Amino acid sequence: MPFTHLEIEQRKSIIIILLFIILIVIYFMGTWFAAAVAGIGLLFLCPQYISGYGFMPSLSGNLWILGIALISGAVHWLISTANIIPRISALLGAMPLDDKDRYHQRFKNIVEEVSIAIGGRRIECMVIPTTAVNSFSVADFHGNSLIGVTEGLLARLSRHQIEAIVAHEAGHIVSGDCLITTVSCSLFGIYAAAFRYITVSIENSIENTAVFDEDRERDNRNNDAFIALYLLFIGCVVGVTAFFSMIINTLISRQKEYRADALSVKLTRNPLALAEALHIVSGSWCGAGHGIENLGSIFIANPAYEEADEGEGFVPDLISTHPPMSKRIKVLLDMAHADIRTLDNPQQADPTIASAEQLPAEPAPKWFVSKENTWTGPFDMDHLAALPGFGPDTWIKAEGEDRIKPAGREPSIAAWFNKGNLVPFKCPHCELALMKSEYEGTSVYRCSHAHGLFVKKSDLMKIIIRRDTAFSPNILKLADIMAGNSEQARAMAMSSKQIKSSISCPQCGITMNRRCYSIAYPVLVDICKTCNVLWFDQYEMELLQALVEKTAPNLA
Amino acid sequence: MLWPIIYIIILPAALTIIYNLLVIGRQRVKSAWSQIDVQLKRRHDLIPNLITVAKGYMQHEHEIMEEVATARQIAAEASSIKDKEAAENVLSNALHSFFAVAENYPRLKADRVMLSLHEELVSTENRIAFARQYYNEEVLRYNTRVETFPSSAVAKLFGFTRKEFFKIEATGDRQAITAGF
Repeated sequence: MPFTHLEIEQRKSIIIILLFIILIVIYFMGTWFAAAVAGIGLLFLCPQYISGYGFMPSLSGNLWILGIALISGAVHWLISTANIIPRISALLGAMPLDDKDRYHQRFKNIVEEVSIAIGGRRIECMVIPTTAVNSFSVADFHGNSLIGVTEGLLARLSRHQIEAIVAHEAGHIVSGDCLITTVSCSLFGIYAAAFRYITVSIENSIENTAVFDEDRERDNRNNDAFIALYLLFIGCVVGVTAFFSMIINTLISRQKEYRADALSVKLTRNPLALAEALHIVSGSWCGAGHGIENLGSIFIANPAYEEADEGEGFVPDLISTHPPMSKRIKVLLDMAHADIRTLDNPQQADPTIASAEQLPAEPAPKWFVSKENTWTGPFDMDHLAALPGFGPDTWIKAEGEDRIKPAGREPSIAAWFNKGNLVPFKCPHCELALMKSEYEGTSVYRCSHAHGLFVKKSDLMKIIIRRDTAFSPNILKLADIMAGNSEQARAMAMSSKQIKSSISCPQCGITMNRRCYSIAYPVLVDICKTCNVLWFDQYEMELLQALVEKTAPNLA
Repeated sequence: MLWPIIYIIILPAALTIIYNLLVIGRQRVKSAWSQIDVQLKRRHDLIPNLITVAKGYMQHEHEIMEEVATARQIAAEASSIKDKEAAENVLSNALHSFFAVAENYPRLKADRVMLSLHEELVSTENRIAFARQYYNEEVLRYNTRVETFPSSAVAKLFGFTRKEFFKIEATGDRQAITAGF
């Protein structure tokens, strides 16, 4: 470690005391100006009552103001630093991990590995469901800490690279920088971010560009005047809080990022992986959602683009919380004795999260089923599952055999019953029960007969940005054609009205809507607005993925 | 006047501080070692599952599977640091050759249980490596304290001795399993 433990503790407490003093000073100045303005106002309006009251508050007046500032500053401090971690993670939209998701499991494993490297300190982990590539860490006074990454980062970085990023965040946590940035963010940044978040969501609901939100448009028009007033008020608050958070940002040293990079290398002994990871982070969209600009200092790369971040010298050092990315990468490359060209050929691809679907299936055994004393069939496993009344006590016999037995006695079928694979959803085309399956590391429901996919909207983004599945040449060709004629396809998508689909939602049974996924990616899909789920017919999912990969290689 | 102060206050205080530092160092080494133990146990617990899954696909590779199983048995029974070191190295090599053979069985590689088991194994290897790294750092710090003056004198007085480092061959741990599969 670059510091001994004692030095870290002292430095930490000095900066935190300094933060508190700044807060008091800000409140003092605020109250003082308010008192002065009130004094002047009273002087003009009713001078007869306050003959002794001048422009400046008197000494006792100043003491009063100081008292008010101290009390309100302390209240502000207490409110802001209570429950910091849940509040910041809620504001960032971070979600707990999904234990069925392969990528999330891997991330959890990596965090646990790194926490062993720093001596077994428990670190929680969360994921922000956006396509951006970024990571953050927060810590509080009680020694709790949290490392969060975006879905985009999980999808685009290899195991070694994620390990390097997590070790960087762990470096922030053990060196105490994380607590300082977290506290400073909680004082002002969190309010600015919260107000901006509200503002943006209001603007969004006015503009209504999201896929699912177009019906709300009409309801919102009536409230326009109210919203305009509200926006004005919010604008003032955002301005003030953003100004103060900028002042506090000047306190946060840019050096902390270099320090955490060095600690990451010390833990993982792999400077090249961190350099590659930073290269990918800097080359992608870093923004992690709306309203996080003021929380930028807890992220590994500033989510908002700021010119000062790439500059050096006194002024950029003062106002920027992140050092130039190119310099960070260069330091790491020097450690690895490599040059910038090595970043174009990453160390090794990551084969660990391969999809289980890529192999051709073996011919499955087929079974005859006894139904009202006649044998029907042969059925494969999926058909069996869909038969009405099929259970462990149904009599079956294998194709080509004469031995009769209950389905529960046949090991392969019994295993299937035990796995809990049977889900209550049915394929809208062929009425077979959907099977729980895995696609791009996350769980989806699949019809093995019609080859359709049933996906929750919240899982769709993960699938689109991950790229484990290889596409067939036909799909790639089709995606090429669509990407080549993008103008035409877009025009078509914009002019086409959504139509009632021929199928009904597997979840709620209401007829779905068939429409383009979005104007940019005009693939027709079936959407159920009530349940926020999508049905992809065969190849539609692959086509959408291939199209995204073609047109936005940085995203997928 | 000065000497009594030195004898009565400063010397015992310094002695206490140094003694406590040594004890803290020894405790940290101990807890770091227990972390390694936990992770090694985790590794030993995973291997039977690995063999069960692999049996379904690799019927003709009895030898390699038995090699892994015996290596695991020996490693699980080892008690001293030196014994563990040797046994874990044998186990790592056995795992390495197991995954090299498993490379020839694409169906095994695509098995869903195998996929998650593989992720667990990779993670465990990393955990062992990190736990070892942390342990060795703590041992280094403790040993330095035991051997440098003035704490060396206190260490000798109260019988604090050097601790052993824990080494696993570099080829045997982190790279083996990821590269082999």
